[in-house]
Order: sequence, then structure tokens, then C-alpha cells
Amino acid sequence: MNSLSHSKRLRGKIRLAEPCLLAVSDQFWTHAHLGEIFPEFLFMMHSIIRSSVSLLNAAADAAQRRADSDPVSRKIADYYRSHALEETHHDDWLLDDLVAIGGDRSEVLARMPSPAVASLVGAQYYWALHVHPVSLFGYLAVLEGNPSSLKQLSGIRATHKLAAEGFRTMVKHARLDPHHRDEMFAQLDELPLTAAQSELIALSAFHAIEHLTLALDEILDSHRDQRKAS
Amino acid sequence: MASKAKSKSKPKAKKKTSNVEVLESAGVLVSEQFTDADRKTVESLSASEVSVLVKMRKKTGAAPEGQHHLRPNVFV
Repeated sequence: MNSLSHSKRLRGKIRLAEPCLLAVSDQFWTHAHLGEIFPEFLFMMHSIIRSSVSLLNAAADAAQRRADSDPVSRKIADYYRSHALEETHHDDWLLDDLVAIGGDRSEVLARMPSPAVASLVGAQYYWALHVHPVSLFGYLAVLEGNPSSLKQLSGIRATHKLAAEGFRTMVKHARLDPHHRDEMFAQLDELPLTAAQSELIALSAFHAIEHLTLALDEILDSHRDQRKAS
Repeated sequence: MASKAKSKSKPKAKKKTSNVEVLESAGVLVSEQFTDADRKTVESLSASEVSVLVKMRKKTGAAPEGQHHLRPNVFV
């Protein structure tokens, strides 16, 4: 019998999958022209987090529908709803940051998000609605499980001489996410998960890692192509 | 001439490959760096989880080990 908690097992699985994401993330944050690609990162982030509240609420609704007959769903419905409230308007904060560093609000909202982001988020709807809403814990563990520190952010900003306005939402999250992470893992540890549900959560996490890696890679590739062309 | 009786040796039992072996040969992990807890976690992975990890490794390629990773959190 495996005596590890659900959250420790999940983190162990994530560690196996995430070297690819960490490597591309390192390439991004140490990029010689970070100032040129940073707005693209904010756009990617905005593309992702604009879906957070509706995704969490969709998963909460799916959990509510199963709650009478399913103990896991009964426990997660309220957690998803309260987390959706915590995440409300965070996409607006990020949009404000993008505008503050020179972006155009209406252009950002009209711009087509990357298919990698659509796949990242879209798969979560599929799993939550058609398999089991507990799947979302894998996504949350990847996206909130490793918060950046204020020191990391200020180091990056200072090294690349980037405007503080572009980092306001990231700084807020560096303060908020350690709490969100702990709350999320504590909630996961309380769930009476079946083996199939644990597997689903891991697959959701692996998919999130793969598609975040692709989305960051796209930004790096696009910048490389632009420089070649100019 | 009497035909030689076919020897009825038992087929050799195929050695079960561990998750650690599969993932190490696919370049997903380096088991030397493992603690017992890591090994236990890896051996508890299902066949689907192992398969997804191997496919991901093929698609995304190798990642350098031991860097101080800078990933700022991609918050939801």
C-alpha cells in the first residue's frame, strides 16, 4: 500500500513530467531579448486565465450534478466555487498590466489565442464534464503548485530592466499563490480518490505541462522567426 | 527411425519490466538520483501514466538537469 498522501504522489508525478517545461521556462526568462517577448508572455497568460472562473464554475456544476452519489464530487464542488470567486477579475488585472506596458486593450481581446492554449484549457473542460470533475486538480497543481517568489520576479525585472507595471499581477500572485497552493493540496489530500481518479488527475497535470511547454515554445519560436526575417 | 521426442521445456517467463526501467530507458528519469520514496511513486504509476510520460519525452525532448529553474508561476 502506498502511504504517500495524494498531493505528495501527484507532486512526485509532476516532477517526472516537468523538466521540459522548466527548461523552456529557463530559456524564456533568461532570453537576451526578454523585453521584446515579455508582452507575448502576458498575452499567453491572459489567454489562459480569462478562462479560469468559467472553467472552475463548469467543474463545480459538474461536481454538483454528481454530488448525491459521489463522495469526491460532494467535497470538491464547494472548493471549486470558492476558488472561482478568488480568481474573479484576475484576467482584468493582467489586461491592465498589458495596457500599462503599451498593449491595446481591444486588440488583446480580439487577438486569436494560441491553439496550444485552447488545447490546454479545452481538455480540462472535456475531462471535467465528460469524465470526472476531480481532473481539474491536475491542472491546478501545475498552474498553482509552484508559485514564483517575489525575489525571482524582482530579479528578472531588474536584470532585464522591465517596467514594474508589467509585473503587478504576477507580484500579487506571488503573494496569493502559496496560500492557494496549500489550500488546494490540503483539499486534494482529503478526497477519497479511486485509483482511476488519481490517474485522471495525473493525466490532466501531464497534459497541462505539455501544452504550457508548447505555448512558451511558440513564443520563443515566433521571436526567432521574426528576427531571422528582419 | 523413432522420432526424437520434442523437448517440452517450459517457455521462459518474461521478466517483468519495472516502471523505473521503462522510464529510464525512455530518458524520462535518472534513477541514480532517486530516493526510495521516488521509486515507490514511480512504481505506483499506471500503464497509461507511464505511456503518457514516454510520449511527452519523445515530443518535448531532453531537458537539462540541475539548473536553477526560473519558472514564474503560471497562475490560474
